[in-house]
Amino acid sequence: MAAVAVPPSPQVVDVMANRRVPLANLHNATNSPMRATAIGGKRQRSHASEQRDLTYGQPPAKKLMVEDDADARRSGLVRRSAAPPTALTKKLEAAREQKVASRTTRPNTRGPEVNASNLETIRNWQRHYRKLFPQFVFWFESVPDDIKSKVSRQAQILGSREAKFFSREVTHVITARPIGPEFDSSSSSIAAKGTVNPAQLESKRSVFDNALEIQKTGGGDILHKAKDLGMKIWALDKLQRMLDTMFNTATGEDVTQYIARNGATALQPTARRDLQKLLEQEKLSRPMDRDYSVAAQDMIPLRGFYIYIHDMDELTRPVMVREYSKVQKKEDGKWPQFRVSGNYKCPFIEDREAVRRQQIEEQDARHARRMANAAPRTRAVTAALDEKRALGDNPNLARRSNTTTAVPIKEENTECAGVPKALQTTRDGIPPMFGSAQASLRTMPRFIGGEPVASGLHQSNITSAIQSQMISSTAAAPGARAGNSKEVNQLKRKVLERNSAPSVNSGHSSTMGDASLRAALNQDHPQPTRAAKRKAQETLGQVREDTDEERKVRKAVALRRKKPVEKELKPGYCENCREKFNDFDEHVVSRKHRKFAVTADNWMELDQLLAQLTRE
Amino acid sequence: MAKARASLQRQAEELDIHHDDVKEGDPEDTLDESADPLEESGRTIDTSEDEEVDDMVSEDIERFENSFVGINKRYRLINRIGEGTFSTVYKAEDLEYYKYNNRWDVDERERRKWSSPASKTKRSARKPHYVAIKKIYVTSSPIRIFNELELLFDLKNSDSVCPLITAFRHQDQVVAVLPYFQHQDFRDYYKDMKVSEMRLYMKSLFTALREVHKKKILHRDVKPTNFLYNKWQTRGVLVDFGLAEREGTEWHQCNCTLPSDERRYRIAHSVYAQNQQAGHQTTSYPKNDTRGSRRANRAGTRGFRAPEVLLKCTQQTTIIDMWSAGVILLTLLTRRFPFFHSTDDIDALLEITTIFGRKKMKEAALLHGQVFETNIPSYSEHGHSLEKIILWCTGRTDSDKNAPKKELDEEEKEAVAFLHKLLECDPTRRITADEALRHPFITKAYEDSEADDDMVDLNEV
Repeated sequence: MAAVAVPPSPQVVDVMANRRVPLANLHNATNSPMRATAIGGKRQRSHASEQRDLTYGQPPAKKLMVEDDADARRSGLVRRSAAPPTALTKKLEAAREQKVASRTTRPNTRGPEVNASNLETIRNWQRHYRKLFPQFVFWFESVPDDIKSKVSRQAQILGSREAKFFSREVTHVITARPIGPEFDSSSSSIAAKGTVNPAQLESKRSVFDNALEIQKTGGGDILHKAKDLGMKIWALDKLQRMLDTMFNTATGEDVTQYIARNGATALQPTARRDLQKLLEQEKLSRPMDRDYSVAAQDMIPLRGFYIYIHDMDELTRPVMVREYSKVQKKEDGKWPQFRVSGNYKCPFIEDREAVRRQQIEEQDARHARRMANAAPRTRAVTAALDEKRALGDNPNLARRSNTTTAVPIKEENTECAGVPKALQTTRDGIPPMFGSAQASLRTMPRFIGGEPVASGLHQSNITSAIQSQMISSTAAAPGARAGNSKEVNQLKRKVLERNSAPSVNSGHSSTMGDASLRAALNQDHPQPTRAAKRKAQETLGQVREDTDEERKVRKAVALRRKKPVEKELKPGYCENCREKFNDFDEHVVSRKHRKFAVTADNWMELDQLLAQLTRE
Repeated sequence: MAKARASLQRQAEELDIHHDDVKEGDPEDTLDESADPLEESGRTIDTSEDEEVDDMVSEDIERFENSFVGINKRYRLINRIGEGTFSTVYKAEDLEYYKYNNRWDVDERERRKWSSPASKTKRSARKPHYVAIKKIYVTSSPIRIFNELELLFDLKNSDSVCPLITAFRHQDQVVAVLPYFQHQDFRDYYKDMKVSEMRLYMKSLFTALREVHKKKILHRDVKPTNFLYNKWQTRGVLVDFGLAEREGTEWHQCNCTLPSDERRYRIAHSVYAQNQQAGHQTTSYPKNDTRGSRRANRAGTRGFRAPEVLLKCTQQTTIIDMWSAGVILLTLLTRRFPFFHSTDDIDALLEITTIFGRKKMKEAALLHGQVFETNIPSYSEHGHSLEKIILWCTGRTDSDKNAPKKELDEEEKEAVAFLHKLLECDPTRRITADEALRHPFITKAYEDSEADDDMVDLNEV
């Protein structure tokens, strides 16, 4: 029993770990200079973190290991590029030298010694400085140009400016020279706040050294001037450390969001990052970078058929991820692909009727011809069917199968076998079979489950009129999308997947709210709008004219419309009140909204424009 | 089976990261979904008075009139002719037409040009004049409304752009008055439009886009419903600038604007490239992703969004509209509307992949610093040629192996050559509106239209 009790999972983890190669560590890949190790939060609880805690206890040893690691990797890099030293490798070398030099003077602020309680402190510090940074105007003094541009760019991302010339507007003077003690008071504001001061971690220069420096530069130093003007004087190192800490996302404070919000046109600080920086980052923030089991736990592998579009530098979340279950035949896959569809219709939406027509034609082409002759009758029947459907009866619904048929467009030069026949059937002007127009419409996902957006015809589970009204007054206010909860989105996905239509409406339908969702869930069948009807008739492949049938249909629609309908809620989002509402009509008369409406201030800018737009 | 499906669904939910970036109630989110491509635009051919007005519509009109004090003194609302995402459009009679200067009225200008002086005064005295009244929903922010009206104001003298007659406000209700432009519903002509007509249609569209793009404005929602085309006048106007924006709005550096050698360098030194070099194979994504999501304006209509919009390029230019124009031409050539189903952005990109293949998409993605990875078997490396897709969509694939291979006709081939330039996945290589107007496919429109009018014979005589 005891022997059996060995849990299998660690083995699995090991296997996965062994497959990985140092740099390929995906855990790292998802990491970025702006992100960082997820030290806090969930992983703390994991089994693996216990191991890590041990390491935390021994920072020096840990650091050693990191160094070794980096050296090994560095040599690995050289080996990897088999080509003779190119301009590129030289560039890398140069970057490395420079970085090694600078690193020696840099404290490891994000190193293993950072523990969870520290994290909170850092987070607070980050928040604090994120607010302050936009007010900073830096002026760089004796800072090498390359470093200056880099640092300045990072600072810009945080909202600060760089003054090209020394003036009163400067708030901070950044110098690469050592700062004498007389300037120190102005530069220790962080420490005074009781938060983590990266500068405190390092103070290698003796006071004597500093004094010497000061003597060298003399009393006319611009730093004195700066001090007199009440500017803060920071060492370049300090600013660099602060920036590093600001961009440390281990705390969960994500500076990238800040960037997005502020629309800073500046380069991302990491945009110029190369492998060297990557390695450095790894060194600084990945104490456990060899512990792949940790990484594996946080990654969801894509095992089926997938689409995965992600940032090449892993700075942002993937733009798209979706996985589809594996299928025997690719035609059965739910991903978008060309499918058997009737003429004039979307080629990505399967049209079961087309398949049926195709089969029938294969059986007997002449039979199809006879159907052609019977066209007028068919059409009348269609209209009748239409009315029947309007009453909620839907004889064709049951016929809808869940299977999908993809068009086998083969790779170059291979003709698709059966498809053309089906297409030609319609092309020859042979009207679809009995009731086929409606049936084929239903086959399209957009007509299933009352999904209006997918259909684009504003299908509704009530009447077309109500639907239109709903749209007319609320329609997808921009926020409706935003206000749509994740749960609702998921719900929608579920609905549609059940209908074998892998279609999630990305936004518009959100305005439909729960009513249509519920309807969809219950498989209520939507009633056709006039537009739908017209479309249905167009599907017959005949020239549209105002026929008796159509008038009849219209009358039927009108009849239905006259029926008293319960007031339907019109949910949406109000950009002005910045809130979601359950009912448009109710919202627009609400106190908050009315107050916005009558407050002239809100409309000042617009009114100025409107004044220019008066009719002449 | 049901259980399996349920778990699949759960999986799909987890997977749908794509949508997670939409934060609840986040006003910053810029994904404005315009109305559906199939959205009823209102057919405005019929100007007769006995239009059938739906009960609900007249109720709606009545409510609108009551809420907007004094509007019925100036305009008589007749019918609701369109519903956008942010507004409803009504057809109305302009009751004060003769009080004002009506430079915007092209129809009237045309008419006066051709009619005799006598009939001019006689007819115009009786003839009602129509306008389109756009009621912008009161839940739209003043900033959004300002943006739209300001852009329209800026474009007031632009050819082929629907001019703004006036706009006014009553409390939170803002109304824009636009010319009532007679046009045909796209669905009435996409099935049988001749290539010669397509030239004229596209020419008119590009004329409008050239004007808009000259002002560095992205329309963002180019689609048949927003291009009201009158094939009898071979004239169209671009409408609905509700999603339009100026180029450069909220730009951040995107890889696509870098010089190509710099871009190559960055790609070669990206995290992804390192992983590839290290021979890392497994594809996986982080479970609890704390990174910020890439943000870019993706407003538009499903199925008409350019690849760079779908890939969240952070420096989108006016050229995105040219892709949308390409989708329209593709629709016309394949006679399939809508051509793309595109339930969401992922589907949209995959549908584009279906046509252009994995290789091109991979390149297109890398251009914007994105890695495109898929193992979906339906997408071939090189995709399908547009020619083949058009043949297939129009049912001209060979059913009989002995029959001669079906081909596009010469005009269609010309169109396809042009289409390639519009549906270019690399925005930097896509044809501009100005270039398009100088392309042989479009310049030939002049000759063709003359030929159609039988003017050639007359000239020769």
